[in-house]
Amino acid sequence: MKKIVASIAVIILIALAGFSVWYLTDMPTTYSGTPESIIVGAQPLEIATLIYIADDQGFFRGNGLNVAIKDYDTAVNAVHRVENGDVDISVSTEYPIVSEAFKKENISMIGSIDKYQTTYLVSRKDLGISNISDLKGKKIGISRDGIGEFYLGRFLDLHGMSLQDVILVDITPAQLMGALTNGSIDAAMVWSIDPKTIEERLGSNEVIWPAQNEQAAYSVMACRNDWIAGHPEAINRLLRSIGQAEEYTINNPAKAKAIVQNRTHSNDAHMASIWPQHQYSLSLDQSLLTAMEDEGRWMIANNLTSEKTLPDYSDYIYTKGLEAVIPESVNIR
Amino acid sequence: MKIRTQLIVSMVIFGIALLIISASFISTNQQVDRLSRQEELAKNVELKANELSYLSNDYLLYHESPQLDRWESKYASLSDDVSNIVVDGPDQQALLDNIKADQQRLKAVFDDISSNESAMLAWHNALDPTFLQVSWSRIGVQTQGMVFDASRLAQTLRDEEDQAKQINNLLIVILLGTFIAFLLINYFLIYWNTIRSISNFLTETQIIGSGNLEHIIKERQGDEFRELSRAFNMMTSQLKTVTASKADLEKEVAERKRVEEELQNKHEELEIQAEELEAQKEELRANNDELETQILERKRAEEELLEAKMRAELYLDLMSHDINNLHQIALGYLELSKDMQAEGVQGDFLDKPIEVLQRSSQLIKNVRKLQKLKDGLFRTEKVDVRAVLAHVQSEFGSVPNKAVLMNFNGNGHYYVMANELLYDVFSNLVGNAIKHTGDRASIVVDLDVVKDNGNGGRYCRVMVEDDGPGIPDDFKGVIFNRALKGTTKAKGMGLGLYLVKSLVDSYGGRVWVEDRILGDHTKGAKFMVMLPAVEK
Repeated sequence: MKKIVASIAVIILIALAGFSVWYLTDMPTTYSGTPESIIVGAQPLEIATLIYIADDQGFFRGNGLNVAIKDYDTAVNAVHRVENGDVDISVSTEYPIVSEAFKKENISMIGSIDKYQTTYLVSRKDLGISNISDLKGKKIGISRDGIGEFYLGRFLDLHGMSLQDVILVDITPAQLMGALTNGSIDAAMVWSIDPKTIEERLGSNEVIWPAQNEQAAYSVMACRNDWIAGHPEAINRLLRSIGQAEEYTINNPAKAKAIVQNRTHSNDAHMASIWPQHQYSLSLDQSLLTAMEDEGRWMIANNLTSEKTLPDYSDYIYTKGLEAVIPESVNIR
Repeated sequence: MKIRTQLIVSMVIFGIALLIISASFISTNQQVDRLSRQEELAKNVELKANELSYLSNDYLLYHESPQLDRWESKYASLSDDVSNIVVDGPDQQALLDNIKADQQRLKAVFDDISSNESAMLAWHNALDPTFLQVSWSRIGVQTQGMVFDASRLAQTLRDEEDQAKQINNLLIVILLGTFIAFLLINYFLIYWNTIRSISNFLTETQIIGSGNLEHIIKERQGDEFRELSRAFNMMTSQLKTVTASKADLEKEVAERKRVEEELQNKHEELEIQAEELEAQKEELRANNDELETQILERKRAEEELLEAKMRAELYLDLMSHDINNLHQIALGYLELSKDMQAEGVQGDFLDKPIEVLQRSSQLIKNVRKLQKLKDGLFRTEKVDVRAVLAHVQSEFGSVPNKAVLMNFNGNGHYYVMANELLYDVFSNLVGNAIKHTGDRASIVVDLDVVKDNGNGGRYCRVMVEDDGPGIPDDFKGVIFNRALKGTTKAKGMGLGLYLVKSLVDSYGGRVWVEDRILGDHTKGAKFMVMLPAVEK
């Protein structure tokens, strides 16, 4: 009888060993070297979702990275912090990079981690604004140099106006709704705010228009070229961590949402409204370049840059990292 | 079922299962690859639709020919991707149909924009917000619709791909499970049964091995062990028989061994006895030899005694008969001589007694010679036969009317080993011839050397021929033995021929008589003497 039990045990052990080998070969490898410190600067919004999840789930640590996330009031500020070396990697939309490219800044995008359409132009009826044409001559609060400026300009273009037809008031995103509520501005370009919240804040006076004009914004990670040159392996591990976060988000949407909600101090309604408008995916697509060219052309047309020709935005994209980690996510031709 | 059959069946089932699972795995893997390609195409469509959105808007806003070229190029690429997408389910087909519809509508919108150049120009010069907004909106609707549908299609394809991967994983687990099941089934159905059967078989064979040949192994199953058990039982049965035979053989061997030991003991005893017998035999042989020696000595003594007796009888016979006769003759002649003294014829009658007395004296001499010969008083030496014969011729040459002719054939030497009595041999033979022939006669003596055909030796041959009355065949064999045989017929013949034979025998030769003319003894006799010749 003992022999039978021993034989069964041996067979089960062999089976388990085989299964374990098969399973472990499919598991991500854990980095065993000295952890490398990276500072990531981002506006604490959903556009940094994959960063937060990678941090929360220990994907950074698993890949030998000690990542510190610094919050900034605007994404543009985070980009500037990269340029002056305060942070290693910024999380922003592509628009600040388009602007920096005109300045020939030493900066490159290493990956796009989100696409979204959450930008709205909101106003108040009691301020005499019911139609888009009513915006003419009005004060519109906006975070200058951000993509909101582009979306506002494009929105006005499509409706027979231009930025010159309105008065732009530079206000941080956190102050926008307050300024609109107290009437210091007539309208505001807001994002990452769900319409229900706007309605709650403005009551029946609210006027809201989707302002992205069917054009998705990209959330991109950017860093200095010299930093890239000095940390290629760290970038690879960072991208691998983000890729793992993407998988996690796809496979565990509720948990991912909870992580982001906790990180951004949002409520359930907000998350429920905002979450579907984001596409969390690590990639470098041709459409990103197309969007940047569109935005660059718009900047030239609106004299927001002294340059008259578009730079080659592919020079501001570092593809080697993502190609090394998830090559199928690079779609730039 | 036999173990071999069980193994084959289990391996066939496992092989079929493995084949099915492997085929499923390969098929699913191919499906994963196909879905992966389709998902990539859908993603491309999504990306390109997004790009087309920007390009359309750019062209709408700036109406530059490079944008138009880029748009058309991108649209062609997107069309290729869309046309290459192949989907399975109705949901995916609906999404693909939506994409294709949006694609067509986008083309239509863009064609409207590009064809309405005048409107565009009007917008540039004097703004035509309505056209712009409508076109923008239409572009946005179509491209976003495409992006949305392509995204959903990619998602569904990815879900399907994931499902296929899960199925693959499941197949691997099933494969592993099948393998484990195969091992377990094999173990329980075949190995365990086999091991159990072997264990039982071992136990039972140990019983037999311990010497219990009466034990019969139970035949439990219909597999090879049943045949093995049957064969083993048969073997045990045969072994039992063989063992019984072996016991008998051992008994017989023991008996034979015992007998052999007894035989050995007997053999040893017999050997001892044989040795004793051999010793006795040796003793007997020695005794026998001694006895034979004694017998020979006795026989010789008896022969000597007989010979002495015969000789004594001979001498007695000679004394009582021959010498007495001679004396009676001599007495008669002497009485006649006394009576005839007066008549004047006395002379003749005196000569006769003298002659008779001489003969008697000769007889006595011969007896003396014989006695000396028997006593071995004569030593042999080389004697020239021709000289002896010449002496004989000279002695008898003076006999009137009696010629003695000597023929010496050849000039060789005629030596024999003899003694002084050799003269008596030839003088007796010549004397007898002279005595028994007529008034006128010739005595021929031949001498030569011949080779004896019997032994190859050389002999001196002496032939004495006469033409007397001869010797009948009946007497030829006995005339030389007359005195010793004591035959009456030979009485009165003297001892001459007996002496001749005795002497020739003592010289190692032979003597015999033949007819001078073969077949007619009346024509005379021929005495033959053969003596071994020696070199000078």
